[in-house]
Amino acid sequence: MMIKKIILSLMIIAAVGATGVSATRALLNDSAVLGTSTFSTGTVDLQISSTNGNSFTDGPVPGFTDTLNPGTSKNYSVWLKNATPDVDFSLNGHALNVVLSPGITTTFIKIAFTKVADDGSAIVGAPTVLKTMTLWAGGDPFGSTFNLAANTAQRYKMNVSLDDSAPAGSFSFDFQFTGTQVIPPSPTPTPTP
Amino acid sequence: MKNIFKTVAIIVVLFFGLCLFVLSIHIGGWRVFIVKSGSMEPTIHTGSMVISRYTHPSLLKTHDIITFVGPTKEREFITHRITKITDTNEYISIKTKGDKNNAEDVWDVPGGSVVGKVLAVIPYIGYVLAFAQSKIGILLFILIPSIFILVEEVSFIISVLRKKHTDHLKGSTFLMIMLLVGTFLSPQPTYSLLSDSALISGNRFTVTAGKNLPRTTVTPTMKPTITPTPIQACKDGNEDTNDEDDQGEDEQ
Repeated sequence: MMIKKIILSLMIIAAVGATGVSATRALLNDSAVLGTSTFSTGTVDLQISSTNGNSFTDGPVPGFTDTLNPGTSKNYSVWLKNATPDVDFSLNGHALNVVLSPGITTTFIKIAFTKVADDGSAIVGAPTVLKTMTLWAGGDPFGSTFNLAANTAQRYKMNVSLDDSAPAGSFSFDFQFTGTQVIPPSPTPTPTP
Repeated sequence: MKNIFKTVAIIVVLFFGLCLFVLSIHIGGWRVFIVKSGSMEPTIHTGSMVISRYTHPSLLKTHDIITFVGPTKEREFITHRITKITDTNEYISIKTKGDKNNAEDVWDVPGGSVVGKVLAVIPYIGYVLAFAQSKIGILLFILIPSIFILVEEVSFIISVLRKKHTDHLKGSTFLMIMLLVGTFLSPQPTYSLLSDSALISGNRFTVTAGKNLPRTTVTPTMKPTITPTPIQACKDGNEDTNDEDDQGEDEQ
C-alpha cells in the first residue's frame, strides 16, 4: 500500500516536473500560442467616395453615367477608406444588378482597378486588377496587393472598357466593394536550441 | 461531509479534464476552437470557446453556425452562419455570413471544407487561455503551481516513509492539475471575420456606335499628359490615360 502511494507520488512528480520544464522553455523562448493582443473586437468600417478623397461615406454613392463606344475605355476615380483602427482589409469586388441590352454580353465589358496617387497620377509599378464583367458579376477578389491597411485611404483608377465587337445599346451595373478582415499572421515560435 | 465534498470536487475536476482531453484530440469529430474576432456577436463573443462536432454537409441547414477551413489559408478556421446551401448531386456549396457583417462572405464554402457545426459556446474562456499562455500566465498558472505540487508530493513521500499519517491529493492539488491540463490544451483559433461593404450604385453606359458602324471620337474637354501605365484594358493597344480629376475620360 505504502509503495503504491509512493509510486503514484513519483509519477505526479515526473509529470509535473516535465510540465514545469516545458513551461520554462516556452517562457524563455517566447513561444506563447495564443496572445490576448490578437483578439479583434468592435466593428469594421469600409468607406467610399466617388468624388474626392476628403468626404467618405458608408455608401452607396451615385455611379457614373457615360457614353462608351466599342473599342474604347474610360477612366473614373474611386476612393476607399478603411476606417477601422486595427484591422486590415482584403478587397473583393462584386458587380450587382447587371443589366445588358440585347447583343451585349458580360464578356464584352472589362473593368480594371489601378492604385493611383492621391492626386490621380500614376504610381510606378502600381498593381492593376483587370477582369471581365463575367468574373466581377460572380464576385471576385482583388488580390493581396490591394489589401487596405487599417486607418488608410486609397485612390483607385477605375477603367471601364468595351470590346470592339459590341453592338449599340446600353449596360448598367452597381459595384460593391467588400473589405474582409485579414487574418493576422500567426506568431512564429523561436526554434528551441 | 468533508469527504463527500472532496469526492464531488474530484469527480467534477476529473470530468472537466476528461471532457477537455476528449475535445482536444478530436474524438468522434468533436473539436474546440477559440474565437478570435467578433463578427458573430452577439451570438458568439470574441474570446469564446466554441465546441463543434463534424456534421455531414448534406445534413446542415440554413442558419446553422459552422466552422470551416478558410478559403485563403490552410489551417485557418472561420466560424460563420450559413445563409444559403446549394446542394447538387455531386457538389455542396455553402454561403456564409457573420451575424454582425452587413454582407455575405465573398467566398463559397465547399462542403468538404466544413469542420463542424457549432453546438455550444462558452464565453470568455479564450481570454483565460490566452492569458495562461502569456509569460505572466505561464508563471502564475504553471510554474508556481508546479513548484507547489512538487513540494507537496515530496513532503508526502517523506511523511509516508516516516510512517506518519497525511492527507494525500488535496483538492488544491487537483485544482492545479486541472489548470495544468487546461493550460496545455491549446485549442486552435477560429476567426469570425469582420467585413463591411460599400457600393457604387447605378453605373449606366450608353453604347452609341455599334459593331461595324463608324466610331465617334469623343474629345475630352481637358486632356492631361498621356503617360503609359501598366494597364492594358483596351483592345487595339489603346493607351490608358492619367485622368487627374476628370471623370469619364474617353480613350481611343
